[in-house]
Amino acid sequence: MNMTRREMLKLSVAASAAAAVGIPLTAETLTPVKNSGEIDVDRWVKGVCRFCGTGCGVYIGVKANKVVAMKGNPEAKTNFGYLCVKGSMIHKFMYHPDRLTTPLIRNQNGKLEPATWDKALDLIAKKFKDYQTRFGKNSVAYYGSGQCTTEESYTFNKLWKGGFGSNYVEGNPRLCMASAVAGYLSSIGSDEPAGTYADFESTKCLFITGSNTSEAHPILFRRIWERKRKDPSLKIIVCEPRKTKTSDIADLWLPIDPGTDLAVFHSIAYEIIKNGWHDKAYIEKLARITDGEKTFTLDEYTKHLSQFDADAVAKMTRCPAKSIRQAAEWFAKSGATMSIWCMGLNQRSRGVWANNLIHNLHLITGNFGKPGADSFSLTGQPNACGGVRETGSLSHLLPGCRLVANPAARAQVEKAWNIKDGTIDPKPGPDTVEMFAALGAENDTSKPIKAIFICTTNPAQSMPNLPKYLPNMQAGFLVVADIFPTRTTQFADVVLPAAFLYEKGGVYGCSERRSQLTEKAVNPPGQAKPDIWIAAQIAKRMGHSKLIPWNGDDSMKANELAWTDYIKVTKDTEKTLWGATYKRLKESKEGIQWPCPSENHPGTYKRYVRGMDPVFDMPGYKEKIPANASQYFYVDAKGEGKANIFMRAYAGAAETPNAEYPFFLTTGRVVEQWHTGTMTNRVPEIARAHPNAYLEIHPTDASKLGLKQGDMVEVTSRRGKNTLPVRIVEVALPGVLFIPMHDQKKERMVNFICNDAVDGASKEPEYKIAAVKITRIGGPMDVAEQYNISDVNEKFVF
Amino acid sequence: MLITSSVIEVNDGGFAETERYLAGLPNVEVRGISEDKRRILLIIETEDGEVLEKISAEIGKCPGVFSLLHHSFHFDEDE
Repeated sequence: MNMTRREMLKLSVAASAAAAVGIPLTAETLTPVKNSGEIDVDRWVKGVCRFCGTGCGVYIGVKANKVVAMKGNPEAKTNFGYLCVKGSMIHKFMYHPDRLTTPLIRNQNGKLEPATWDKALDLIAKKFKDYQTRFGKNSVAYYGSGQCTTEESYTFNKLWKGGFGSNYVEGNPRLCMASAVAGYLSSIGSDEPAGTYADFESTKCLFITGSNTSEAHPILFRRIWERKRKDPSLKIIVCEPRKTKTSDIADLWLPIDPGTDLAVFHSIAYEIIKNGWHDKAYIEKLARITDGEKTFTLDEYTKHLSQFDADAVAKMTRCPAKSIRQAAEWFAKSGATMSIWCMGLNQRSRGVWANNLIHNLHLITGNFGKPGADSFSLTGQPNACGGVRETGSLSHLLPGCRLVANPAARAQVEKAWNIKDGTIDPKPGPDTVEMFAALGAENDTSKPIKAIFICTTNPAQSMPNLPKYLPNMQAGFLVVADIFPTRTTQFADVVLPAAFLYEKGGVYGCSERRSQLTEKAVNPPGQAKPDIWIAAQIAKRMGHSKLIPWNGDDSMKANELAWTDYIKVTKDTEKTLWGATYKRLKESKEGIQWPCPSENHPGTYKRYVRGMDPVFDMPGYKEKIPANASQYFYVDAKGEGKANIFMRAYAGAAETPNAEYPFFLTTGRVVEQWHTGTMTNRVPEIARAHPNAYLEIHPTDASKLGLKQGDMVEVTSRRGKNTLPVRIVEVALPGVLFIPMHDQKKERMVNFICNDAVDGASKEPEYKIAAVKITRIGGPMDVAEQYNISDVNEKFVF
Repeated sequence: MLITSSVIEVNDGGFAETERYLAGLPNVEVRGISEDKRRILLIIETEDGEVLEKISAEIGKCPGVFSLLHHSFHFDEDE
């Protein structure tokens, strides 16, 4: 058969996709495909997508030590071969000319100039040691990311807590998932969901709230849509202030003013109990009603809820009473209801309460512990769960999500790490907002933190209320490891060029407790190095090579040593991955879901259910679980096997509109861009779709203000302002504005406006709600310049 | 040369309209159709990402199209 190379490639690509997504090829394609070869690569390397928390499995096509193709992994249980636009364009920024390829040290003239690795690492170690000697062990902090691999986060966490004896370890999941963590811990007793994505296929009612799934988790949205398409009887309820594409597939949209959803959740609970749709037996057996101190009867709880009558709640939230009642009926009577949520609930000053109230709905209806029934928090980053929550890389946690304040937990970890008793500080360190507030210059006695190591994240753009924290980043000694120049490297004293995920390998753990290994596919550019190597080199220079012995140049070998150390430390916890050896993760095409206590265990679909959850048979747990218990919350702090139905009060946002600041402002993602845009905005195809931030405004509000499409406006909060074009669309409710968060241009960085008020329990900031005013400053202007920071010495004037 | 395999999810009753629409687009080849006619497998061949972006935007304009998702990208040098 005569076939051009191009046609052969097309056939190969078509055949691969057809097999992956289960679509039969057309007859014209099928015949020649049988005779065609594979896509022209030297090898396919198994990996995971680098973006959101879905955990899509990919294969990276490598030819001549260069990534030349990407494809979805059809055997991955997360994405079944599908990829979104971000995941499929990764190669574009891997080879972008802006990549950092050499260490940089800021000289006396304030310019970053190239340096050797030895010089940069020696300087870091010298400075850190000097600060620790002069200002104490907590004067040097670590700020990591839900994008570091598990091995990297674990290594930094071990170095700080076990080596330096300091809990000054934080990570950007504090800014996105901390409320979900605190919600699970307080309601259920243990972090992370009981169920998995597989519940999408068996649920009868899906309650989506605080999540624009269609843009933030497009592959999961496809899965939900597919399920709805196959079974139109599935009820989908969406509760959001914006009517996004997620609502397009909903049977019911519950509109709300930002921050008022707690009243709606209480009201749904009230309707359920008032109508007798609750599961009384489940409540009696597996839940307690509490305010965190005292316990209450169901009657007392009902009386508390009665203040949230649907008619009254409709007036305070703008959610129609009829819709609340309908949602309550579907939620309670479906037979299997699943809730999913993300930052809309978490990034709030009452984020933990919002999480608690969703768990409440599941507990009062018994929608827990059975197929299709779960309260499931979606994660925003690819390794916030595996890398930060599970390794305990936050200031109050230890590996296995154990608390540093717990003496027994400290003793367990100290023993496993083979360090002296009492090495781990019993006092939790500061949260992220406190940490950056405490960062400052050597001569500033009000700022106890003098230096910070920032890894794979961009706080100079992602912190809320930037005007408050940028001066501190400028004053302190900053070490930043990243792959591109960012707003944060503009303040750095030392910049370290990092390897990209596919240039080093490692494990990511996604939203559904699934750990998946990415193999190293290609070498990093120039002198870029894996973060685990950087951590180990600092440890070596600071006298902790015994604690962190994986300091060789082979990144996969270092990863394996760190992983093996990590699964040993967490072996006896309910988050055990003891059976997920590196060898097994390498061989597995779908990863492994914890708990996985042994090498012959397949991983766990559903927690807290006997016969599904291996923890029921683990020493330390099985002794306290009654033999006849089919479902049991063995993580209950009171030892009764129960989860908590929280009797929370109602509280709105920390800041609400008034005469001076009459609008609600909320923020979020767009499908093409990710986080602060440092990677996605360097892909022209992606950046062109959403090159700049804008203000989304309802036509009613635009008309009142005399605004026309594209007009330039100034948006001002009590903290700062943005100048950007308006986009007049019927998405959000009138009175509610939206600005996406990816733009790096100072005038359009929404975090100059956002509120840094935090949740009292999770310490997560309220990014999602601010009160603002708008002033028209002119007609349309072209602001679509796809702004990136390319020059490492470009100044950030703020 | 950029060769992309993509999957269109089709709205209720939107298959015929989508099929007609795709036939009018250059560089787009239908290579597979699901039995229920709700998913269409495409191969899109372009010289660069900008053209791919434009074609993707064009596909998105078709009322019968619910979503366009990609499966694989091959961005080898041209022959």
